[in-house]
Amino acid sequence: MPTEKNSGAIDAEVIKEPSLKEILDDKELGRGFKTWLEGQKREDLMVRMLSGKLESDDLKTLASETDKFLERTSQSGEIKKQISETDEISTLVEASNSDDLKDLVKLFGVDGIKEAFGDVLDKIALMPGDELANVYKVFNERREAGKLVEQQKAEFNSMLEKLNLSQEEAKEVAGIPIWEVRQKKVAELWRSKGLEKTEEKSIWFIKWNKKVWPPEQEEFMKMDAEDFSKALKINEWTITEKQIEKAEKALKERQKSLVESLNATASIDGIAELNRHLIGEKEKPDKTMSFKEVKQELKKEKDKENISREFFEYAERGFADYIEEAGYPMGTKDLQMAAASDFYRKFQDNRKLQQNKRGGLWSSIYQTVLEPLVQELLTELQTDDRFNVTTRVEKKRGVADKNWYNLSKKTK
Amino acid sequence: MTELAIQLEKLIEVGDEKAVRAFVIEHIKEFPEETRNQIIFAFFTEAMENDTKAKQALAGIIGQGLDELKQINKDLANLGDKKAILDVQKKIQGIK
Repeated sequence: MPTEKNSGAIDAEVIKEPSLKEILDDKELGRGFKTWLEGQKREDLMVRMLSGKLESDDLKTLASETDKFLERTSQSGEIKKQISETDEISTLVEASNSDDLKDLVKLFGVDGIKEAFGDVLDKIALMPGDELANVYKVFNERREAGKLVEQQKAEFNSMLEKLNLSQEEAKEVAGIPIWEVRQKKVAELWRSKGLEKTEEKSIWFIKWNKKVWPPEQEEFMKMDAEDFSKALKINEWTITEKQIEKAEKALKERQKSLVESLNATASIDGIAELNRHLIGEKEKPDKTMSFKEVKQELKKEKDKENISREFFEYAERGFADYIEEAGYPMGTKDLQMAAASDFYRKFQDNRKLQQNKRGGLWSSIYQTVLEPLVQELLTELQTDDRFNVTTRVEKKRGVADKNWYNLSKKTK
Repeated sequence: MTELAIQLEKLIEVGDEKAVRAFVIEHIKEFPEETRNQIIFAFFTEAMENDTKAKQALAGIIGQGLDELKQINKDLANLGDKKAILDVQKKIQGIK
């Protein structure tokens, strides 16, 4: 059933989602929906729909699959639109300050990157797993965080105006080291402290900022602004003019120091510095694959004996069914070998899918280097007696279906 | 491609993350298109994730600084009021 939804509070653009019929009538959408159903292992639905032999529960399932398919195409479309119509890629390269990204842009150009991005988005949109949802989440969170930082900067600038301080003046506060020097010190200290989580860095960064206040402010600096306000209230009726002047002086110094610090923090260098320290960090090890995990997985992968054992256990559970369902004729040894090789490929695809679902740079690299190892093991397995299709089918069927088995024997 | 994958696998075994990244970028054009796109996508989504974390951390830092600055401004105004009261008290005492 077609639904309507608002794309945003300001534009309130009304988008009409296509119906199942409209999806099937559209060449591109129809092909996409077919791929989606294949990924969901529901090709049977498509077959029954096209042959007009839908079963009682099929309509409900089809409606649910259509919704999921449309949600995914809408999410990937939104990301693609944003990437193709804005300078998102260039700003990301600038913000990340990453030499890797700069090199990739040099090699393929911004348009080449956009094209590659769109191509993969189209694929993951129709694949099972959470990769698209993860990218969509990050994409939106980044947009929201960017908006927040911009709002804060605007608020800060308006505050500067009220304080009658220009940004240049604010930078030149006596006794405070210039930002470039401070930034390097922060970077060194992060490294030396081995701080790994962003939040820890942020908190520690603020604490460190407080440490560079002028020494004469030391006592005052021990209080945060809230404590200071409380202290003022307690002494409300006993405060002297001298105390007021002292407090005023201290507050103004702190104000200047904060303004300078905020000025520096809100600069693009601040973002680049944080970005640089985040490369290679994984706060949630279960989310995407890390380099360390690739190393571990490849080590396991090279243990051929272990993988062979896993494969034959897997084969024990489904080899015979597979070749029957796939309709392999029990003919020559070559055909048997082809069936077994296909089954082995299915086994490896299932294993790869578990890592691929997690997405990320290291998952992609893992998939790339895995292929020769998979092929190497296949070559070795082909000399193993247990790889023989006939033996397995015979074992499954026993003597109950002699005709089928005899037929396969006759064709040898 | 197989030769490239074997080289990469050996490098992963003995090298560090930085070296593997450099190798992938250096040889990126030698990968098949699908793999190449996947790698480009992965590099950029990783950068996007890092940039998101950086921006969120930055918003936290600026937010705290702004809050403190607002509080200081309030305190300064409060001190100004107290100063004014003291001035009035002084004047009253003078009159007395």
